[in-house]
Amino acid sequence: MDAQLKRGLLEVCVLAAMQAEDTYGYKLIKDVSPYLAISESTLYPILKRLEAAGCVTVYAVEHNGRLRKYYRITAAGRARIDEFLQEWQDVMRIYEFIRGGSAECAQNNS
Amino acid sequence: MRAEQFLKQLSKALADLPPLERARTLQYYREALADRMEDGCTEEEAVAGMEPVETIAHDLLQDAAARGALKPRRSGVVVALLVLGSPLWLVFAAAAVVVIVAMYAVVWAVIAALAAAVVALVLSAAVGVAALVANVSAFPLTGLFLLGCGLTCGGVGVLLAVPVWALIRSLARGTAAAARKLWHRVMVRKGEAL
Repeated sequence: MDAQLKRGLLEVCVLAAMQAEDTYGYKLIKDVSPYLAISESTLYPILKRLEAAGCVTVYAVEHNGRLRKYYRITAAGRARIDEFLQEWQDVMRIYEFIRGGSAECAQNNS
Repeated sequence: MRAEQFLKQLSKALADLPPLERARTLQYYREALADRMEDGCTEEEAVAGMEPVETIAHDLLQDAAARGALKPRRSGVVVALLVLGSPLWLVFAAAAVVVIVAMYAVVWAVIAALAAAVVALVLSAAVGVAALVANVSAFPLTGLFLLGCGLTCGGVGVLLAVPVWALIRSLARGTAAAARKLWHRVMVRKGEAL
């Protein structure tokens, strides 16, 4: 997949993975991996950016004698997801146009 | 590779990051390894599941450089050379300073000589008057002649006084401007280093 496209999608994927409940790093990777390849080193800057943008808050919870960082989505984060879903409607129209165009081409050539 | 080894290598590779960022990054990866091991991986498998230290460090340092967050670091080799070679380059630097100061002094000396000449010429007018007074009874013509010479010298002196004064003023102003520029440069360098 195009690298730019993937980067844009990853951020929203990470946000979506914490919509239902607060989550932590490794769980995020497990939830997103089936859809988009993501590793710890890819996730780290994404989480930093989301936190800096106010889409996510972080807190620590004691777990098995160590501290584990949990991430919670904010209202701004949810708005970002909605924004993405809206934009994607336009993308789908463009997709149809491209597909329709290529189908027409195939018809004219046959 | 063991987890501590991985983290130590990562810490070294991130030496140029600001200490707080480096600590946060290490904490993140320590947690990531711990979570994987809890999920059932062995320590070796957990570390193997991470990207290589060089890749992680390279991406993080690049990102930090883009944000302007990297600590500027002077190469240790350069510092060592400067210290070891100091007897040599210090001597040369001192000699250069002495030469520059001497040249500056020479310029002032020339101007001082010109100024002294001007003063002497102007004073000749007074001397001429004194000569007239001294000779007016015995040798009035001589006295007049001497007065004439004195007045001529005085006139020449006054004429020369103007350009010499201009020279003195421009040299003084030039020195002050150069001093101010140098001071400003030193202050700006200090500000950048802080």
